[in-house]
Amino acid sequence: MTAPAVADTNWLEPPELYLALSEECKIDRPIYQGDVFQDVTLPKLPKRSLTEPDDHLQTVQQSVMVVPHPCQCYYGDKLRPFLTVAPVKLVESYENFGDDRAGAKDKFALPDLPVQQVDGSWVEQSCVADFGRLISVPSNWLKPPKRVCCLTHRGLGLLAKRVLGFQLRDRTTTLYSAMAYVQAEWNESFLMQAWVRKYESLRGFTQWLRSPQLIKAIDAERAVVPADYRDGALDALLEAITGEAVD
Amino acid sequence: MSGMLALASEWRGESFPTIASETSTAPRESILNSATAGSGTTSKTWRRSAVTIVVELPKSDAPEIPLRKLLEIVKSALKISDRTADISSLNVENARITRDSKGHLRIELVWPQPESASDPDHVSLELRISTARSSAKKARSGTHSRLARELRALTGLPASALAMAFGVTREQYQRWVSGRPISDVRHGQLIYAHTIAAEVARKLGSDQAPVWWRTQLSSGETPEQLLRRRNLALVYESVVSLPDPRPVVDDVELGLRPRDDGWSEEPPEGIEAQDDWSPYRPHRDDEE
Repeated sequence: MTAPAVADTNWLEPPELYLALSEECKIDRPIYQGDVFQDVTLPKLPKRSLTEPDDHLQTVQQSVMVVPHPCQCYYGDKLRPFLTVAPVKLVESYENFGDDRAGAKDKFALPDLPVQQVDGSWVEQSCVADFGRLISVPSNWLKPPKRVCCLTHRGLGLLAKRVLGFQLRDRTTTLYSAMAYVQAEWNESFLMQAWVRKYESLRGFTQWLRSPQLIKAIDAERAVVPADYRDGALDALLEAITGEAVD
Repeated sequence: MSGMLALASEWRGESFPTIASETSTAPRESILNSATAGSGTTSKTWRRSAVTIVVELPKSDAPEIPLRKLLEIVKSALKISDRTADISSLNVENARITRDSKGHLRIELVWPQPESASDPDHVSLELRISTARSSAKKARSGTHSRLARELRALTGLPASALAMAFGVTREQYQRWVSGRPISDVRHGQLIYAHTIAAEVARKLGSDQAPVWWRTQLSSGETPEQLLRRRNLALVYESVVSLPDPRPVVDDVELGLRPRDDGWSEEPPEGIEAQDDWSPYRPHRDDEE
């Protein structure tokens, strides 16, 4: 049997896991599954329930990772009002992930994640996103300039594996099948970014994506629906948006 | 920049110049050997996936570090780079590890205080592990050639047909086969197409798979035609619908999964108050 294009794994080192880190994160890249944002206000929930009228929740500024599938992050051209996030925390090691790295199912490893210090410098530290503390926050609390990492396609596939492990105890999904499953959404993120770069907002993107367009690089004579070609013709769709040929 | 583990020395606040390093690839054992050899000019590189570690031993005028201790440190540092050890501790007597403001790991050794000195003598060993983000590109240079070559074998399709699937010329496709560079966009497309083609071959066998690519589907088109038209979503759909003789092997579900793009749902609560997403303007709530 032919070896898969992408070997199945439960672990990715930073170069394969991160598309961009800290200042490399482009501000116009859409807020997407797996993005980590710092300085997000989260409630600090006490163990005892709050019953008195004067009881107030304390808050804490923390890094969080966006968890929902990309289609659950957006509704048309709008970011959904609330997004579910997993708090990100430092860990001393990843020993509890086990030898096969399939353990600690309630965590997603973020090795060498840059953490900004008080003096503004960045320090790479071992972190995890904690699925055991999921919470939904207003999406406008996730500020693009505060984004510290975006995942690669492989990273997105690994996140899908981990989420399935957390929710279903699923160990059967392979990295390559998870990646193929989200191929269209992965490519769409670049189309969204190109659109925002050109028009400064997502306004009109969904309409363009779902309506027949004449895209010569795909079909010189007949209009095609761009959404149908997200899987296999990213270059042609990018060219249709930007007017510039893609290598 | 490739990541590195540098062992440089400091003595009573004075920095000794770091030994010029020669970067070379060596197996894991070499780094340990270099540490035990203790030569002032030894420098080796250890490559493990993305992490490159360079050991630069102190110059001869630096305080002598017991070789056993150095070996322990290197072993512990390797364990840290494997991410199986606590980053705050080396578990080596008289040694501790910290991070500096640039994120570099810093190993500090404390020697017994000499009678004449007011401060304990320190030997600081600087350890830098930063990941080489460019290494993913380097690593794939070997894989895209394999993928392009295997895609031809798996489908039995000519290079001209496959080139159309990627929106490139036949010559460009052949250059990929021979290992010439490929862009990020095309590499992603190649991985996807290979994944689909491998799935067809797994389900039908390597003899029948090329036949399938040329056989009409219920839509009237062949998979090859869909590929040439760059509609890989329909190819994916067709492949997923093929019967699977061995869906699960060793508890791993081998097959690609059917997708459902036809979801419809009620608008989420509060969506009407949201602006179209833009990173350039503050949200309404921020302005209030």
